[in-house]
Amino acid sequence: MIRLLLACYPPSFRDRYGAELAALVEDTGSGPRVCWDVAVGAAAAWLRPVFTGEPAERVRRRVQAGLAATWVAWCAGMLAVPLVDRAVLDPPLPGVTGTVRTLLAGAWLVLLAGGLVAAAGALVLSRRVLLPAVRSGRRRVWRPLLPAAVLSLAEVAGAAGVWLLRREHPAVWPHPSAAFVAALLGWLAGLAVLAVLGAVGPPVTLRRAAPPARTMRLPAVLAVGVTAALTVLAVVQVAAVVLAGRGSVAYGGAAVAVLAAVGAMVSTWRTVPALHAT
Amino acid sequence: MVRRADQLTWGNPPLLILGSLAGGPKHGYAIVQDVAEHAGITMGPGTLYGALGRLEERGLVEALPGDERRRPYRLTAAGARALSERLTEMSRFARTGLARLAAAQP
Repeated sequence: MIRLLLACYPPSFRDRYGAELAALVEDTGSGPRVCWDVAVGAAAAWLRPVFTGEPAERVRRRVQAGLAATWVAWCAGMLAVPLVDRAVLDPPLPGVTGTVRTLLAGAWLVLLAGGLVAAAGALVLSRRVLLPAVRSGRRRVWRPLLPAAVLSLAEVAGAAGVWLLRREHPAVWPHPSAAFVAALLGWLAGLAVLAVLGAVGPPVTLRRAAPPARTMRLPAVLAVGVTAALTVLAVVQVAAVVLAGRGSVAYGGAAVAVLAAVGAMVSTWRTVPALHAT
Repeated sequence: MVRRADQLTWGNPPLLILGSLAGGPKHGYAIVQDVAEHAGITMGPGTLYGALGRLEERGLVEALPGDERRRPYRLTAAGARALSERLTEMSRFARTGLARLAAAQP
């Protein structure tokens, strides 16, 4: 249990204090009180990361953490859009009006705009960090991206299979077999796993590559745009859900959007001063 | 999480750590023991290293070379200055409180 809790600390904290913290836990014992203390400490370390070392290294780690946090927030915020859309419109909640539909359509446009900005940042990082790592054979750097890439292919193949089945055997669709339903559920579970892997892989790669701060400057500036998009998404979706009325799933989706926006804003707020030093 | 022996005790983790390191460099476990002995406060590992990280980030303490698992820390000049200022304020508060108590005695 205590090992799991120690592993919950942010990577930068573990790198610097992990061994000492583990040694202290060994010395003091790992009772429930210590477990609780370590769990609270891990949560606090995520909310307010510590960056020690030389000033240049602290700036580099701050920018890196800002990029990672914004990416994870974007992945969560991105998922909230289809979730809220489906929860509100399929079937339409009682309070759905033209305004609600316009807000939800607007959310998709904001998602597209934010996605383009995020993709631009990812492209810059791929060119500056990933490609050199691939060329120099540093497998450790790009390996964290592999599971998401493989699962993406499997999910695309699964989606193509469903599409083909629906086209070739339309009679099967209204009365699916248990095996088909199981496969479909597996595909959906795969999507959820893909979302997690897609959110976690790039930050791990970035951490392992440890690029200099100036390399991350442009992506970090673009991350400010992603944060703005997440903020607009949260406002639009909360407005849509409140106007639409009931729907716990819709409220849940809107809550995810708000959490993602708040996380990205806090991280950006802390990263922007570091950008002046790059 | 800080566990206190009684409700009227004083101190927050950064101040307790600085106060402990004022007596010389110590590693994590030695700080916990020292604080428990002199202040009656038991600091958990997460609390200690969270506060230690902040202090190091602000340049108030620094790690000394040593075993990776038992790295000692010491006060920096800035840390000694900050501790001195804080203790002076606390001392003034204590003197005032004691003087008021003495004056209130029948």
